[in-house]
Amino acid sequence: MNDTVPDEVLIARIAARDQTAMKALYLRHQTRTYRFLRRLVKSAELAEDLTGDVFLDVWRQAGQYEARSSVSTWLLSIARFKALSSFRRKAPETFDPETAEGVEDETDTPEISLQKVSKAKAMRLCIERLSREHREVIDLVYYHEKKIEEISVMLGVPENTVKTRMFYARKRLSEILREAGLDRGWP
Amino acid sequence: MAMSARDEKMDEIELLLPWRATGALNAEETRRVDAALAADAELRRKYDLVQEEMAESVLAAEEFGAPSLRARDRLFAAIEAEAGLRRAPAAARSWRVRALDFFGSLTPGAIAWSAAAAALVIVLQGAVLTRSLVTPGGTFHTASAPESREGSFALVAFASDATAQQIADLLAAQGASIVDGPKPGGLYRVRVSSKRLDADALKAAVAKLASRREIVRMAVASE
Repeated sequence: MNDTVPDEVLIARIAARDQTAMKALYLRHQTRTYRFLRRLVKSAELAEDLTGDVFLDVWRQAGQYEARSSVSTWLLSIARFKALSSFRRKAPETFDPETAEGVEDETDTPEISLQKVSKAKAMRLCIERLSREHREVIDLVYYHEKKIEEISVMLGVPENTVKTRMFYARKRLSEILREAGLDRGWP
Repeated sequence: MAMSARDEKMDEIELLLPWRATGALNAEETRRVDAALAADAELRRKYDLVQEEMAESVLAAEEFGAPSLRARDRLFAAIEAEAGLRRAPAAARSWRVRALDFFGSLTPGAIAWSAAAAALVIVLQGAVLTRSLVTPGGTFHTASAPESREGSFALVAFASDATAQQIADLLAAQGASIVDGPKPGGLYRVRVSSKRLDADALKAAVAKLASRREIVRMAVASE
């Protein structure tokens, strides 16, 4: 099945139980879905498991695809739901999505020093230090190239919130970089 | 200190810079941002930072690699197991029942004739009505395109609250099929006959479709 077949057509074929279409969709979207999950859950093993869960859901529920968003956005929405569910399973009594989203993670990130790593590497490490909420929006904008309205639907927040969240994520990234010795002159 | 109107405008522009860098703004927003960038050196410097962040974000994501072959094999083993359970009863059902199963699985919201949802219907109907089916081996092929120029056609707009079941039944009862669309205005090109009808016969076929007002909002003969 060639690469020119639209995602929506693949989904229709999957709804008709076409495994060839399923393989085509998986090959097309597995990497981006996996990387989005890696960004959210950090664990490679868990991200891989959740990626499989996402596509198994697609196989089972392709007929329910409502085309309100692109297929790639739909996949990322399922992935995000899977990631949040995994957080809840991990710590069901203490999980609070409101606060968990905003917490920065300094526990498993090595000390960032520009004397030890390149500027590019430092920026990548600093992205890892951001809160999940900020990592997520930066990933959706820069890597997944999602539009403001698509992110708004995915995250369930107004479009203006998407814009300001991205702004504060970038601002926080610059602050972390400055703490690591790289002053970008902004903000 | 109160911001001037220009400051507020620039702040809005600054918020849009990341999406300008990825090309995810509409034409009007792109024009506004580009005009501001052309006029403001400080904004251009900030845009350089955005582009730097974007490049590193992409590289950081790429460093994550891809899921393993083991994960792929595990997924498709699970799918094969589920497919195997469903295959026997599915094979005994007619193509039309299978198509209606699929339509029935869509929610009313899905069939509110948003462009892509409607495209799914076209794909399924086009495939089904031209006898392009999932083969026992699991492959799928369509033969609708070469046939789509033959016959007699109408442009049809369906009622917004018509269900997929109603549409499928109507088209099947009249030997019609969707061959293209949606076009602007929610119009679909429908083949009303596989033969070339004369003007009166085509008019009658279109009128028959249009008479089902609970399903068809509008129908006109088409070349």
